[in-house]
Amino acid sequence: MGWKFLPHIGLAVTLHLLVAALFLFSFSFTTPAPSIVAQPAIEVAAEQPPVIQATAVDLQAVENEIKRQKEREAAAERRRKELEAQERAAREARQREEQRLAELERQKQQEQERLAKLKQQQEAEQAKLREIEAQKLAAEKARQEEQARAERERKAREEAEAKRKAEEEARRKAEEAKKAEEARRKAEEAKKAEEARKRAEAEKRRQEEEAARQRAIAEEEKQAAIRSAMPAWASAVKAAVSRVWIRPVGSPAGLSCVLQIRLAPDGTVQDVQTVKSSGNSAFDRSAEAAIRKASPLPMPSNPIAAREFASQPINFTFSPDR
Amino acid sequence: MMSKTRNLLSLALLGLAVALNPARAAINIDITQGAEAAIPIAVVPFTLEGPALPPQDIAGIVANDLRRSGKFEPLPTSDMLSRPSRLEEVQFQQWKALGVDAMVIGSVQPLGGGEYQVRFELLDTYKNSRILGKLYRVPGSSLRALAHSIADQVYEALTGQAGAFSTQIIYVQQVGDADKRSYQLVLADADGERPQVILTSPQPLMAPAWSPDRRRIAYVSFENRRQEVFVQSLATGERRSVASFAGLNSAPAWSPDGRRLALTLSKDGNPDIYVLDLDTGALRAVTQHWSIDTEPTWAPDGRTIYFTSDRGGRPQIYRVAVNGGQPERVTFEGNYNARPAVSPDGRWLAMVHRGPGGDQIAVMDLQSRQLRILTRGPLDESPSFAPDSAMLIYTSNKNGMPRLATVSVFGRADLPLPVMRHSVREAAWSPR
Repeated sequence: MGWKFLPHIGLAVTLHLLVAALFLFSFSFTTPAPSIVAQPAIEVAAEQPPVIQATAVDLQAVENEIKRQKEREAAAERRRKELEAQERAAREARQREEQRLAELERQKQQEQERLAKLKQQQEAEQAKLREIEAQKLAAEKARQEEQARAERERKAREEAEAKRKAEEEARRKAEEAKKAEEARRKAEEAKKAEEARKRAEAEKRRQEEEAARQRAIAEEEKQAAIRSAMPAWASAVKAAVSRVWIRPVGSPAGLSCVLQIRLAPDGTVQDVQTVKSSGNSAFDRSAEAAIRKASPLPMPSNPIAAREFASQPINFTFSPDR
Repeated sequence: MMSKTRNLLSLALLGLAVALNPARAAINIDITQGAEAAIPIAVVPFTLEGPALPPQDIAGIVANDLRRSGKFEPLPTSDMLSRPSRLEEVQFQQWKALGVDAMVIGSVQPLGGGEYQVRFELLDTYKNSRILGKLYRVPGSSLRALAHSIADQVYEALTGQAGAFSTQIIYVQQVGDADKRSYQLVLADADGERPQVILTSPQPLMAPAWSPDRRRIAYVSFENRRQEVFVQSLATGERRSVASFAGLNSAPAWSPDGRRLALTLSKDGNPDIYVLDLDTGALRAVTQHWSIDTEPTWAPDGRTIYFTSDRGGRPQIYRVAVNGGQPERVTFEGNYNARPAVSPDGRWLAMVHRGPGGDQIAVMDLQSRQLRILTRGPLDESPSFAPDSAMLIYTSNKNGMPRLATVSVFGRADLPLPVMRHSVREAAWSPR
C-alpha cells in the first residue's frame, strides 16, 4: 500500500516547503525598509552653520571703513542681505527643513502609516496568508483527512473486503475442514466397519475352517467306512449288471457308452441317464436295459455306505473287451 | 504364520474331503463282461377286434422275422402270462420277470371289404415306455407285407440298423420224379412264404442272381441243351440269352451299377472270369489262367471281383481288379474255400468252407481276415447275403434233401425256411 501514496506525500512535502519559503521571502523584504528612511535625517542636522560668527572694524579704514563700511555695509548689507538671504535661506531652509522634517515627519508618519498600513497589510496579508495557509492547511488537512478518510474508507473497504475474503476463506476452510472431518470420520467409520467385517470374516472363516475340519474328520471316518465297503460293493454291482447285460449281436467293436444312474437306498435304480453315447443306439439301449434289469442292485450291509452309494451318481462305463 | 499353516492344513483336509465327497465325484463302475446275445423280446399275439379271423398271424410273422435275424429272441407265446394290446394294459413287472427287454403288442380289426385296421406298439419293458406306435389300414392281401414292415421297424428301432424283412428271395426248385422232372425259378418273401414260380423249364436252371435294382434276374439255363446265361425282367417276364458261348456259360453276377455281368466262360478252353457289358455286349476277360476260375462276385465298390480258383492246387478264393491284374489269394484256412459272396456293406466275405464238419457256410471278416463258421454242414452251399449284411440264406442238404435256411452272420439263428415240398437250392436274397 505504501508506494501508491508516495506522490501524495511528495505533494504534501512540496506544499510545506513552498509555504515555508513564502514566509522567508516576506520577512526579508519588510524588515529592512525603516532603516533606509531614518538615516538621512540625522545627517542633515549635523551640517547646520553657527549663527554668531559676523563682528565690525576702522574709517578709512572707516571710509575705507565707511567705504569699507559702506562696502562693509554694502558688504554688510550685502552680507546682511546675504545673511538675510542666508537667514531667509536658513529660515527657508529651516522652514524647508521643518517642512522637510514635517514632510519627513509626515512622510515618516506616512511611512509609518504606510508601514503600519503595510504592516497591517502585511499582517492582513499574513493573516490572509495564514488564513490561506490555514485554509490550505485546512484544505490540506481536509484533503488529508479526506484522503485519510478515503484511505480509511479504502482501508475499511479493503479490510472489509479482506475481512469478507478472510471470512469467506475461513468459511471455506471451515467447510473444507468440516468436509475433511466428515471424510475422516467416514473413513474412520469405514475402516472400523471394515475391521469389524474382517474380524467377523476371520471369525466366520475360522468357524468354517473348524467346521470343515470337523466335517473333514467326520467325512474321513465315513469315507473310511465307505472305502472299506466300496470294493466289494462295486464288484457285486459289476457282477449283477454284467450278468444281465446282453450286448446286441454284431455290435461293432470298440463301442463304449457311459450311463449315470441314481439309486434308492434299497438299490432300486431310479434314474438312468446317458452321459456319453456309443453312437450305436442298440448298444446304448442294451446297457441301460442291463442296469434296469439288474435293479435293485446289491447294496452294502453297512447302512452308512449304503446311504452314501445311494446319495451319489454312479457312472457305468460299458466297454466290452473282446 | 501359525494361522497360515492352519489354513493350509484346513485346505488340505477340505481338498481331501472334496476328493472323497460322494456328492461331487461319481462312483465309476466299468462293465466289460456281458454276453453278446439276442435281445429278449415278447411279440404278443395281436388282439383280434372282430369276429372274423385275419388271414395272417401278424405277431407270428414279426416274431419269426426277428428271430431269423439272430438279434432277437422272441418269448414263446406259451410263456406269456397275459396278452395286452395297449400300453395301459401292460403290467411291466410281469414282463420284466420274464426277462424281456422289449415288447410288441397290437391289434387287428377287420373293417369289412377285406380291409383291416392294424395297430402296433413297441414298448421298452425297463423304462415302461412306448418306443413306437402306429396304426395302419390295409387290405387282407397286404397283411403279411405289413407284418414284415412292422418287423423292420422294430428291428431298426432296437438295433439302429435298417431291417431286411421286406425283401424277397429267388431260388431254384426241382419238381417231379426222376422220369418227369422240371425246374422252376421261384420268387418268395424273405421268410420263404408266398412263393411264386416265374419260370419253369424241363432242363436244369441254376444260379439265379438279382440285378441291383431288383427288377431283373440273371440265371443259367440248360433249356437249349447247353449252358446259357439269361436275363429276365421280373415285371414283364421278358427274357433274353446274354451269354451262350461254347463251353461253360455260368455263375452270372451283377456289377453294383447293374450294367455288367461277371461270368464264368470256357470258350477259350478252360474256365475264366469275364465281364460282359449288358448294353453293348462287349466281353472282357478278367482272368486268363490255365486253372479253373469261377463263381465271380463283385465287391460293393464295383472295382474288385472275388472268385474261386484252383490255381493254387485246391479251390480257394481270390480277388482281382475288375480291370485285370494279378489275382490275390484271400482264403488260406482249410483246403477248400469256394463260392464267395461279399456282404453289401463290404465287411464280410461268405463262402463254403470245407472242414471237419464237411461243407459249411463261413464268413471272413475282410478287415481282420478272421474266419468264422456259421452253419453245421455237412453239405451247405450257395450263401447269399441279405441286404442288411447281417443274415445269409444258403442251401443245406440234410438227409439228401436240399433245403433253404437263413443264418445270422454272427453265427446265430441258423433256421430253415418253412419246409417246402420240393427240393430247393441256390437261393439269392434280393436287394432292398
